[in-house]
Amino acid sequence: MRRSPSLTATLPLLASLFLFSLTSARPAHASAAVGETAPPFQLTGIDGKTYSLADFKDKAVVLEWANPNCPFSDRHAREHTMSELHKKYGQVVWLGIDSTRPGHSDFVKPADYQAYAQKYGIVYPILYDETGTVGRAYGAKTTPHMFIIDSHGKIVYNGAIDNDPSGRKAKPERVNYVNGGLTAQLAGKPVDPASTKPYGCSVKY
Amino acid sequence: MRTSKTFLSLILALAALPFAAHRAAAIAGAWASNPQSRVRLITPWKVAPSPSPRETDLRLGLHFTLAPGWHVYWKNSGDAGFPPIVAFAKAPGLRGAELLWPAPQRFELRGGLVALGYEKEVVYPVRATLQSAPGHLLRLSADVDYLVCEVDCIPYRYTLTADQPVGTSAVPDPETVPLLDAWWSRLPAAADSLPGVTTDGVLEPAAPDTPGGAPVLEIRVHGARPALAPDAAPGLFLEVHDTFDAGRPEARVTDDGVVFRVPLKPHEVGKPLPRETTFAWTATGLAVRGQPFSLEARRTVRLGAAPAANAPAAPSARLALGSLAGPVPGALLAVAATLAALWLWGLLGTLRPGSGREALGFAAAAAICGALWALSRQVSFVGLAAVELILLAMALCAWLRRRMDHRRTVSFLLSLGLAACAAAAPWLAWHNRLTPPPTDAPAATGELHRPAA
Repeated sequence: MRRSPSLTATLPLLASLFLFSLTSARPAHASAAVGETAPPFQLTGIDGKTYSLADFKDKAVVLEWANPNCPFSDRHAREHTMSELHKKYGQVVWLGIDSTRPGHSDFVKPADYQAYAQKYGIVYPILYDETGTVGRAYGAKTTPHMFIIDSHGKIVYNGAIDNDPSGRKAKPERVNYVNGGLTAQLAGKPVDPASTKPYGCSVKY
Repeated sequence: MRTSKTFLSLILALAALPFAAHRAAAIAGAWASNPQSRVRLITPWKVAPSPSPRETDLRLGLHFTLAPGWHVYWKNSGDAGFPPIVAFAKAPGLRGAELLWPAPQRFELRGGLVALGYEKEVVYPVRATLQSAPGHLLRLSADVDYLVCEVDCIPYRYTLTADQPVGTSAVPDPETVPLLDAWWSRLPAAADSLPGVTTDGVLEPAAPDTPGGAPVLEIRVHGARPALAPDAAPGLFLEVHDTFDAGRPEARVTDDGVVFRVPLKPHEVGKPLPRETTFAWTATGLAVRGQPFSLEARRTVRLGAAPAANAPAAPSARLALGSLAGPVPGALLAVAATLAALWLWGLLGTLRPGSGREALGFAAAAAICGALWALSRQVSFVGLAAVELILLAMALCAWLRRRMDHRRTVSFLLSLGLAACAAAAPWLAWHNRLTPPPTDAPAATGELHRPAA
């Protein structure tokens, strides 16, 4: 019986592949940095309409990564954290983005999403990013993960909604970074802090 | 008389009952349970030693058990989640309860996200001091907020309690002592406390000719080797930094230790990199003199400056050779050696195989790696092992070549393997280079910076 040369062929080949696989370090999942131009996008909302970042040129925009099945997003919906800020800063465009992939148990269908939004008084558009392309472009990691884009299209804040991951702090101790960022932004002042560590569930890409 | 004796025994038994009850019960608080996890407070004693006349160190623990697939978090939770938040209630005599962080694991999540934490079971050690013990019972109480995640995440909050009896002589709890010992031993050692081991870092700016290039944090653990345990490859865990997002660390082994390189992304663009900044890290999967360890350190690292501990006082001959080991001379050397090996192997020219030249060819191929290893000053064990694997496979081919009729096929495979070796070796030499020494004089004398606190 003669051995197949293909058997001996695989040994050095596999070893070579293993060796060269060491060269490819996977890139970090880094967020879009403050000062960078906000990546453009065009997405469909839960209302069926199409929204493009370019539609809001010359306006400040807040992006909120959301997932109603994430307890953190849900808590802020119940506490009206985002909807009150949206109401307070009427001149600012507020967009919710849900990057949950279809097929994941957290994915919410449009009719259910609309009912959820109605239940908690969320009147700003919520957009589907089913492929996760926009989430990856921004480096959205958590729900919620917040971005403020200034009227020139630059990112001026990237991070958490506030300093209270557990939701246990008394209201006077709770610092809402987006509130502070929008106040500074609209007054023409630099946003400080411009970046914080977001907390919450991982985005379900 | 008999009645009085019986009565006395009864009185004594009744008097001892509360203490006996304390001794019988394990001093672990009740579990707070949910479908994903359960958590309790534990202490190592059934009866803790009385603090008088001196205060006593209390080794407490926050004990989690987790359902399969679920995890809780390290002090830097990674891309999502948050670490447990624990607030001990003030108790008379109890001071300074501090939650400590055992060496964590890395969990790869979908979408390129990373979580840092613990699965299956973890005891977060809690260091506290018992200054006094009014009465014989210390009532421990802590509010705990934590997040447990699998694919989904669920936050929980509990108030955990444990009643710790205090007596003149300590009585250890056989259930909790091994558990606490095991997890206290997983706390990383302070870097300064390890004889023969030092750690430092350097912030390397992005290469100017690399579009979108990222600065790199290079962290070196001098005097360490990789731990031999198969599940304990060297790992690096950075604490949250206020200026940078950290990417995945790459570890490699050098002549004098283990080096980690971490790509960084600044939170804000358009700002110059700080000339110096403080990073805190935990390095795991290391060993010194065969003893595994993990360490934690907080260091001020300087931009583009190699710390003094890494810069030899005078360039050695080996270092001078090492400076030549760039990709180009390495590649030229490899090509020359490959041609020599091929000739010796009888694959070039008219030489016929089977006259002992296989061994010469093998020796020549090994010489390629040996020479480049010496020139490159450091090659990772993994890389070297891969090259050796290829050589081994080639030796096998050379042996088979004499036994088989498929001489052309085997000859082709031999040359392919040799070429792979030759290509890999200079790459390894380049890959394993250290950050070049500083070019400016002040940086060259850079001292090892330690935080003030």
